[in-house]
Amino acid sequence: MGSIFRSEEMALCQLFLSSEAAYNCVSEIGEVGLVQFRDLNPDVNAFQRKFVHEVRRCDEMDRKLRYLEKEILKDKLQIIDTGENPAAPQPREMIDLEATFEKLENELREVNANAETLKKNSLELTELKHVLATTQLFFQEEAQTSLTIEQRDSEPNSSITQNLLPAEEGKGPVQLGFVCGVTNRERMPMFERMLWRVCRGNVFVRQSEVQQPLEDPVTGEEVFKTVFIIFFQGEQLKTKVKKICEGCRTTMYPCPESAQERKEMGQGVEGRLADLRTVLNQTTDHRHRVLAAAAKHLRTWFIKVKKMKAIYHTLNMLNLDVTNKCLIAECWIPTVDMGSIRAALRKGTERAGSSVEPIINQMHTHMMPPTFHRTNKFTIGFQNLIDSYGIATYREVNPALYTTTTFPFLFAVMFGDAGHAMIMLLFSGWMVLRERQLIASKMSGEIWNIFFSGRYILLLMSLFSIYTGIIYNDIFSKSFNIFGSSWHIGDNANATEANLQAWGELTLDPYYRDLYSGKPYPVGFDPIWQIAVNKIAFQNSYKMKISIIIGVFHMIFGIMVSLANHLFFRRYWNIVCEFIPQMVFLVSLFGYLCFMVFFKWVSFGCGEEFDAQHNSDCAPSVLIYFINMVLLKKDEPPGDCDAFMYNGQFIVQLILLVIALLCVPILLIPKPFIARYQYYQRMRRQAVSQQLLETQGAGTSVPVHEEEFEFSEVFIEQAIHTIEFVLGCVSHTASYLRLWALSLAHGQLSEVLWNMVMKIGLQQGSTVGCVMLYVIFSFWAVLTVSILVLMEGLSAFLHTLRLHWVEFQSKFYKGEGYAFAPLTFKHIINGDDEETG
Amino acid sequence: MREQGVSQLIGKMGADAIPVAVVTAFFGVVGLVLPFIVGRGPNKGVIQVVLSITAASCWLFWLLAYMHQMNPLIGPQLHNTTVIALQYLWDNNLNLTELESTTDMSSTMEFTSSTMEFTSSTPATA
Repeated sequence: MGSIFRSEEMALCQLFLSSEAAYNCVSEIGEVGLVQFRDLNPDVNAFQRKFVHEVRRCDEMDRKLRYLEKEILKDKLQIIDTGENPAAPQPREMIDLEATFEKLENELREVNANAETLKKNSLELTELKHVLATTQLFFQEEAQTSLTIEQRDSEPNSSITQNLLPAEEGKGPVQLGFVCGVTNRERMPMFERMLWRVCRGNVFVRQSEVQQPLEDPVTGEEVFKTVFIIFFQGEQLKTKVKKICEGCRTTMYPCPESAQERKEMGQGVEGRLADLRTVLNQTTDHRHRVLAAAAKHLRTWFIKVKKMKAIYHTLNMLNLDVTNKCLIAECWIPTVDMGSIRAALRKGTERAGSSVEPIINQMHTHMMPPTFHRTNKFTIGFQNLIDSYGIATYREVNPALYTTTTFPFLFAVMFGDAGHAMIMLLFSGWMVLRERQLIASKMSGEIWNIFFSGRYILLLMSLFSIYTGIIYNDIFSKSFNIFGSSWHIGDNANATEANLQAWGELTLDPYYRDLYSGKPYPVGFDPIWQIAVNKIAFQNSYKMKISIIIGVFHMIFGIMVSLANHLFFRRYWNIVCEFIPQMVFLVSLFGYLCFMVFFKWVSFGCGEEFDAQHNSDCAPSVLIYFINMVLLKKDEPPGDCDAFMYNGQFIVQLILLVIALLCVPILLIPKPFIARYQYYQRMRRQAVSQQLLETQGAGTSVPVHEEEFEFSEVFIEQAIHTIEFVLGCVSHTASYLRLWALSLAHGQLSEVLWNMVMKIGLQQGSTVGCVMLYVIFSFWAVLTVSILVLMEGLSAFLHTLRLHWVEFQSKFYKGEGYAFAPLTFKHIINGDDEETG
Repeated sequence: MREQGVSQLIGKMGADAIPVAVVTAFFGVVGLVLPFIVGRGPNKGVIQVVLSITAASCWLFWLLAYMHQMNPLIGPQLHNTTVIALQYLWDNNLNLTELESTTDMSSTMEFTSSTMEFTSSTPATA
């Protein structure tokens, strides 16, 4: 059974590692992953530790690798996962690694910078190209519209600027200046308005949208741009326009005035663009090659760097001895793994080529060791449920072991519906069968992870729910009649349509053997109850009773487990003052309640074999009996019924009540006195040993620190515990009634869903009904999965969790330990992001 | 005297020996025999515990349902359409054509059998 029943036995050990071998030893220990190092320099701050420099270097390498990873992902390259587990590199290899990463990073940065400038150039050139093309267009249009003016003009090939306004006689041609450039399309209206206002409408703006999007060199996003050209008159306006252009972050391009020059410039731009494109392609090719080469090793590098970092982190926790030649570590090791740790240390020493053997020294301590449960893929889910309540105290009985079965069982009592459970089984079964592939595919998402890590819990819950569903005879709120119902309609003469119409409903009386066969349905509920009008009355009485019975058994089981704890920790007094009175109290009150339920089932009934005092008219309410037992009351029975179920019931109940009440002082009083006695005994023993040591002159021994014994405090604490238990018994028993409430709610909800939705579909007749049924079924199916399986499943799960955490575990579980957190490389290899320390 | 009382009690039990024996034997095998023949391995203990608790709780659950129905104090109250359906489907003692013919002479029918009890609504007593 190993450590799932009780946590692993731990030993606090001292390791003496020679300083040259320490790194390798810790590395080997990390591979084994079963040693938790204690921090021996808790008051030294992180920057003053010995290996802080190395840790920083590792951090730097990590950063570089992450940069590489980002770049690789940007290029959509696959990072190859070979699944191998490289050993942590030797400290001297660190420099090589650093150099490699440095080189890679620099190369990448250079390539990226080059690519960026190239892209920027290319963008500018493309923009210029567009500017030239569009301005050409503007000028041509202008040329045509002002054709008449041009004809009048004496100079045939003069520029358009001169032709825009008719040249006046005597004065020279009016000098119209223009500025052209490119800006983002969405900024254009604002820009235009600005120009208009500042220049008071004295400028002329023409614009044209660039059709294809251009790539921004910095962000890599695609942006739409607009080419504009502004005409104006005079130097003053020119400076204004230029300032506005700059202010609005537009890019201005020089544009020659004559068509010839523009054409030449356009050709030049084309040529340069082509050149740039080739260079850019080469650059991207180069970058791709570099990244592809890096992607092959990236995972291995990551693992190496992370391992190194973890090792240096651990080394920082060690103590340096005075001679500076060896490092001292204190760590918790499971005693059964001592052999493998020794072997790992030897291997580490060999790898380091050191001749000094490391020494393991087991220490005696008063510190509480960490709690370590060795789990497997099946138990880990349940262990997590328990751990989220509280980590078990060292070597205490672990409830997770029992939870593996009681948890799915109690869940199933509430979820009991074989149909819904089948859906759950399909899902959980798929996860369990495809476990390997699913782990390998590394699906992420929080909800998926929750489901996947609880796949075995889900599997067991669904299997148990199928069983309870069969017992409840409830499959999507319908029943199967497998064994043949025990109830019959009997003589059919009476079941004529007229009679039935007259009476509406018919009750089968179990007194008559031709209506009730006398033998109950062999497995589970008789299917007739599912279709009976008084189904709820019958099932409620059943479900309430079983909730109490299951609850009392569960709590008795919890108290039994506490016996295992008392025996293991040799707290024999607790058996007498805690275990026995608790057990007696619970059994004599609530155990007796269960007994009464069973007794009533057996001794009351309908039929000829039951006399007048034991038929259904005289059947008593068990709950009333129980209340009367505590109140010492006696109800007058109706008619000629007996006041009690059996002879001497009153006396038996009185005795049980007295016994139960006597248990309370036993729980309350002796324990504090025993604790005080034990404390003084210990003190006396200590004093004697101290004296002995002093007389022998062996120096001073280290006195064990113990808290002052405060009797009143202990007594109050004990009183609280006692009240908690006594009241707890009552409230916890009542709390198990949630089993009834939830299973009732689940059954009713599924029945309502069937009657309100599915029934409508099934009652359709014609071909249209077929199509309608199709639609209605999908609606019903969606509601079934989302509400009845998911939501009801979740609520039943939470209630089960509560029943375990509070009602069950309060009987024996302290949960005051802390978890074992060994140095391990496992999560580094699995590629989990969470790191230790 | 007491022996007589006990035997009387057992006689009163409306239990059938076969299902009790079969189910008990089944869970007996699961809970008491299988744990002893589980193969060796690191998980032996866990499997044993799972098997025995499973058998115990499932057997108890079956037993509770069985005992609750053993001596029924109330009978099922059925809707009139359900009654006809049951007669036709489960008891096979209803002829549909016969039913149609009886409807004509329903006014002359007399309620003679004392084994039946027609009620429009019976308060359920648990």
